Amino acid sequence: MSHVDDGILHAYLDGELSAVERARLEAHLADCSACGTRLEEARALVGRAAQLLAVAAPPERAAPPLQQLGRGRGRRRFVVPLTWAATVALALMTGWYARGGDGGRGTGDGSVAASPPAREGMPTMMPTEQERARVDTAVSVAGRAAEPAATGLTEGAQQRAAKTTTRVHDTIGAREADLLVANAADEPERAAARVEVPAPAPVAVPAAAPVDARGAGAPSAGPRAAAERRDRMVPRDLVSTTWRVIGRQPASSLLGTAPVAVPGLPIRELRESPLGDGVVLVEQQLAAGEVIQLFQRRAVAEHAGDDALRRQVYLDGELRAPAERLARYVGGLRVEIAGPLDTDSLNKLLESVRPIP
Amino acid sequence: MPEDLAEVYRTTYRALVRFLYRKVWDPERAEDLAQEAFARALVHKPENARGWLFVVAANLARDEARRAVRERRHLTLLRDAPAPVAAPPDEAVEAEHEQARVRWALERLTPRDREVLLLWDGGLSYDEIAVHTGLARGAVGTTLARARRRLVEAYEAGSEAADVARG
Repeated sequence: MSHVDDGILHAYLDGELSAVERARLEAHLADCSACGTRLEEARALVGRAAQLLAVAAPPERAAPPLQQLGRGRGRRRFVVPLTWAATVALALMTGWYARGGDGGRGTGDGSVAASPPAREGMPTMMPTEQERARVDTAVSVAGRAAEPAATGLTEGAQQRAAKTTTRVHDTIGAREADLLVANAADEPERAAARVEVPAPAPVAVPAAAPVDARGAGAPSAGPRAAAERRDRMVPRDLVSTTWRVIGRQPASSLLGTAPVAVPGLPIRELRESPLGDGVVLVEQQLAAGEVIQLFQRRAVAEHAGDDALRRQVYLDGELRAPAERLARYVGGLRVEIAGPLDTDSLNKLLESVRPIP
Repeated sequence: MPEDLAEVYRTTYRALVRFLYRKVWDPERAEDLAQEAFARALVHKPENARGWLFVVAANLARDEARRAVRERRHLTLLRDAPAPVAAPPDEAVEAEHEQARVRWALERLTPRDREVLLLWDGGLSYDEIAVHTGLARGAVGTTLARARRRLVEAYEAGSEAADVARG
């Protein structure tokens, strides 16, 4: 037998030679000291390479139960399209109802920008009888569980406001929104007419849109300045969907702990949810005209089921469920992120959040 | 769920995470991708689950790498974040350097050599590696021998360079 090549030696050391090959090699090694030396060199090389690879290993962590992956996956497939549709449906529906309350102004122009911040001085939490009737219809169609979402929107005197509120609901309570999806099917034409379907990036909330009724007038591509102008023009308390600017101290007491933010990005505002649900919004300046939003609330025990689901969806949904993967837990908080970035970038940012010192 | 997949999960999950980690170099991403691969296996119920998982994982990592390139701009933001106040202990810094050198060395390998090496380290047999890569079974040992030699050589060359740089 001629000398063996390295491949055979490595296969031998890896235990991958057949019995016949092994016997032949061992017979050769017994006679050939040169190959014996090479074998020892190969053995050292195999060990050294394994050693180096072991250095390049991630920290050991326990694997989640396999069953959970299965559940998360099945559930996700169902949830994602619905949540999507719900965003559209809710935007459309509330837009339509609100427009109805407006006397149908602007119907069919495909744009709602002309709608003024109507009913100045009117206590906007109290819908008109007309609106109330419409909303009741919506609720009865959508079912009881949809009520919070629907009533939360009744005050939306402007479609844009409604739309923004929808976003918030989509972010914070996609569950409610899910139930309204049935209505979208009932109103396909209106959907087509009025809703700019927020195509694949569900979190492409207009960079500049602060989550309140006034700023919401800015179109998706609209520059931040437009929203700010509107901000200045309209008194802050006029529309009850306003996310009030609050200080750090009140935010901390709402959350029971310090709010979190992405380190190194300037914080524009801390805001409080108008729905009294204890949600705090931290807005941070990403770049000129780009703002990311971190919605956060206490991670409450009674939501544990949902939360587990969402976390699972987040883990499992890395590749195909952008709408569902932007939530995570940080300390005692549940945090969701939105901003004009790819979902992967948002995830990166979300992973980096820390309590505001 | 098929019993054997549960067993594969138990024995292979960490190996798959390691395999992915050496491609994406982000522990959380590696775990997410590994879980994604297993979630797909639950649906597809492949015959040779272990080999199949590594194929899927390799594809996921490749997609991931493409996406990462596109997103580099945004991720540079994160690097601008202020450094942590307390400097990490020396051992942690050293471990990080060490890992960076191994990574650098791995990246000196040809894609095929690297793939074969990582698959072997992930626990695949020569047969499985041959199926995965399209190599003849007899070529797997030769490829592994070359990959190991180049890894060690590149690592040592890189370390020498680093030592020189440190003066």
